[in-house]
Amino acid sequence: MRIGLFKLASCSGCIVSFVDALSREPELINKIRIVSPFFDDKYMCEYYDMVFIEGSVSRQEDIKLLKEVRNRSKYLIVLGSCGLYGGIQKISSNKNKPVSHIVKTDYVITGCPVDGDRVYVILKKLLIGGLDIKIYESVCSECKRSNNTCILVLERKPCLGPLTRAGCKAICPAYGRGCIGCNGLRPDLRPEHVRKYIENLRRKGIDLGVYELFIKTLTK
Amino acid sequence: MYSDLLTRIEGEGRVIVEVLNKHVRVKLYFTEPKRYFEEILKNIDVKVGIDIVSRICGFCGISHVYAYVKAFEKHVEIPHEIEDFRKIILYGERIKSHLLHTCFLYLPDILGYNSINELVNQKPELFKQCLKSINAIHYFLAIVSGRIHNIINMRIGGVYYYPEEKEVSRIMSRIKHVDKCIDIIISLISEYAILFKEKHSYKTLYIDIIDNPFYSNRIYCDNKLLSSDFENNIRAVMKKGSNEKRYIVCNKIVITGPLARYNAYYMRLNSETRQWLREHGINTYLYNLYSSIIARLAEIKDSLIGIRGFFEKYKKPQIKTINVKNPDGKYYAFIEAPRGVLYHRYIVENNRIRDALIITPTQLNAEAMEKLTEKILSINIEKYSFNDLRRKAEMLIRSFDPCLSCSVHVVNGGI
Repeated sequence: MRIGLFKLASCSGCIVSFVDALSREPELINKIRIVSPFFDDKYMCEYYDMVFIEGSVSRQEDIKLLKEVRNRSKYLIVLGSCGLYGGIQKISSNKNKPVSHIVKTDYVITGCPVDGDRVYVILKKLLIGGLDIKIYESVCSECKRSNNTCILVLERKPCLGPLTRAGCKAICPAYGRGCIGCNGLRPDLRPEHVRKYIENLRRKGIDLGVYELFIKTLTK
Repeated sequence: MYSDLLTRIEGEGRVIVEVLNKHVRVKLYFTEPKRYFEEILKNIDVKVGIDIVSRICGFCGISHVYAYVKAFEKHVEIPHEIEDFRKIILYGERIKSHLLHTCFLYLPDILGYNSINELVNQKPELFKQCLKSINAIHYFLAIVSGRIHNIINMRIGGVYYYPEEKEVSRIMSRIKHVDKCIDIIISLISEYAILFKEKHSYKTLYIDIIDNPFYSNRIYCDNKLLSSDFENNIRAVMKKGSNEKRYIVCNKIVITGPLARYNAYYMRLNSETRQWLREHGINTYLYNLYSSIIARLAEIKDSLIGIRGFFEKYKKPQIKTINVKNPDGKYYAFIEAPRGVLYHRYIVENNRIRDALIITPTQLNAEAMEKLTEKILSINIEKYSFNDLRRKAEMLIRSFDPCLSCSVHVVNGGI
């Protein structure tokens, strides 16, 4: 099975998570061939069973590459927040677009970075011929499943968990830190919902001002 | 993408090799898209920047986080329990980054393979062992820092948690995979010793590691001490068609990273590490750029010893954090990141960052990557065909472990 692995504007962190997923089961390497500039000089091929893309789209070359690999691949999967909504670099330049603005995407693995366990599960499902069911929850649902104490309700710490897509195992609240929304806005929410949330918390005496920049990434 | 893309590196770059009048010319272009981190950091609350700088790089983000916190901790003394634990996280990152480079990006060059896929085909068991050691160090980082990068467990003034004793014993059993992996690799590369014979001359840039192997406010360029006047001794250079801003320090071509550290602090390596190197025929300093792989393996070994020493007598510390205030002023720190010297400098007003300057190891190495490669290959120009010259140029550049995402954060001081 041929797997393409490419990056656009990003930090390569999700590629490291992809390697992390492979390390869960080293025998997987007998079943797949990775076609990627990270691995090989020959990084383009006629046909890919699946292509994973990390990063936001900021250049004409990126658009060309995305169209090329989309045409040659059965599945195109976005790895991480940069490809999902433009990532943190969207703050400094509106040029950074999500991958879905350019080509049709089949699946998004959320995260900044994506979780290696999650990539491993998706990879295993793809290897038997199917894609995972898309379920989009908030970080709160992961907190509940992990029995985390709600830091927003009980400790009155600013937290963007209710607005943010799940996928990170609610790792920041698990260690007593507020969620900064790095997984991106829940797909059923709009910027006006974010503003309403900020206003509701302010009325209850919780100021989200410190997360101003991260809120911008959710609403810009 | 480009036909002359330099593959097996972090990020997107091109290399052009030409022969002119019996002299090799090497041009390196960082085509990695710009991400303007210094601009993103402007006007944000000091507390928030830590989660931004960690996203500069997926390979060495922990060093960016540490540089950030050490810069802002300049007015306080951090209790040794906290600092000792944070060093363990840094050891973990150093092992992770060096393993990625050694096992995947650079080892095919040493073995004469064109790609990681060729390594997978020719030495499948070695490749699987490499994956197991990556898995072990990722597990370690998940326990001590929350996850493998964009870590959770560091903040200005301390950490958020310490692992339980029972988790530590699981770390220790898994980490043996890394020992096994580096034993195999060092034995394997000793069969290619001829590659490391040629003597290359180069000048180095490194920090003072006497008190802390990762942090200092003192830096040495070609053995000359620079510190608060570092910025007066650097010159930024930009090149058409390339997105990085590179830096020349003291008007010299210097290298920073594992090779520079190895030679500056060989006698400070653990005696067990030096013994391990001797058993594999490495008795002294390294004068050859290709042998950066040996310096990396030595640092992995040394880091493993550091981690074991810490956890053998581990008791969960009581103190997690101390209060830190950041009055208006200048804050800076030099860090030894996996690839070399990393400098963060901030100007703070009313608890907000007014100006940020981040200089990464690849920006400091960029000039040496071109110029030393040209020098080394020009001496041997008669020996090689053009294809061999190109291959050697790529290999020499890869030996620096360039990290292009780290190098394109700002251009011309603004957007």
